[in-house]
Amino acid sequence: MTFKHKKGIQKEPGVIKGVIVLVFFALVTAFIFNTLSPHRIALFGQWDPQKGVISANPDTSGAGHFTQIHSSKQVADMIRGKNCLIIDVRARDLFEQGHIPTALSFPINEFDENLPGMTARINQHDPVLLYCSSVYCTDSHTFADYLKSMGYKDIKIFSGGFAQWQEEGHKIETHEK
Amino acid sequence: MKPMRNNYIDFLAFIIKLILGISFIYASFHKIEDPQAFARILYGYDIFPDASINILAITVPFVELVCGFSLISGWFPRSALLTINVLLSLFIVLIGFNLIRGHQFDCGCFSFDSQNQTASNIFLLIRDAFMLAGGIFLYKRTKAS
Repeated sequence: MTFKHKKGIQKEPGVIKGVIVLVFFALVTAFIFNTLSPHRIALFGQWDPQKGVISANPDTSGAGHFTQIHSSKQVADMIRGKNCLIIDVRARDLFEQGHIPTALSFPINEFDENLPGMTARINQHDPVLLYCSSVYCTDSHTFADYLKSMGYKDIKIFSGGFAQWQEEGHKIETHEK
Repeated sequence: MKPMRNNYIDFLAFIIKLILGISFIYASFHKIEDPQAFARILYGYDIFPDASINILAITVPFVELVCGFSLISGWFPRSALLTINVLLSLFIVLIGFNLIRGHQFDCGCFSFDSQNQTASNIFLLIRDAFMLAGGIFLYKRTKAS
């Protein structure tokens, strides 16, 4: 009989039924776990670099809470106009290798140590512009959350960060301010 | 009485089953623990539509986990193997596609610390191909329930 030799998936409805059971069980568990997990993510993230910093969790990363500047030319105008303090939140060695002109270095990983110096230097009403490495980095948003909780009012974020500044051919300072 | 050769093949199948099952369970843990990082890895593949990235980051690790447990425990073993083989085939296509177009990425398979090097991605491709070969071998040997 030829039936015995046909072992294709179409002859094994039990296998497909099993796949449906396993996948259904996995999906239900996944969504329940994600809902209850402290590390849960939104069902839809912000993955369009044109709209700012990318994040799986735009609501909790702060990506939606602050004014984001997407144009490096606008940042250059702000530097020329001297109407904003630029803060680089990347690690200090990266800052020393190159940073946006006039930027001050307040690395996010040294936030507590630098806090007294920062509060002495930056008034709560001063407009500040934060940046980190690139559109893939959320450190500037985390830093902005810290500043906001300390009462800082006028916080903006350069979403493209140092990578965009460099790629678009702007002047880079390589010494620490 | 079973011939000696069959005993060896049974033992080999058992080892492959353990390796595949444990690999899938292990590979799912860090993704479940940090879905945000896994979502960024998926974004880095530069293949998936934006709207699907978070959904995949939430669900794929659990499909891996359930299939890994299912394979080892013997609950729908052929179905688990079929799903694992389909997943491995998709991983191979995704990694191969990015290698061909020269796109650097982190596969995020077993950790989020992988170096973005073409050589390591070729290794991933070979590893997944071996796992798929093992999965097909097991699928052919596992009896329908």
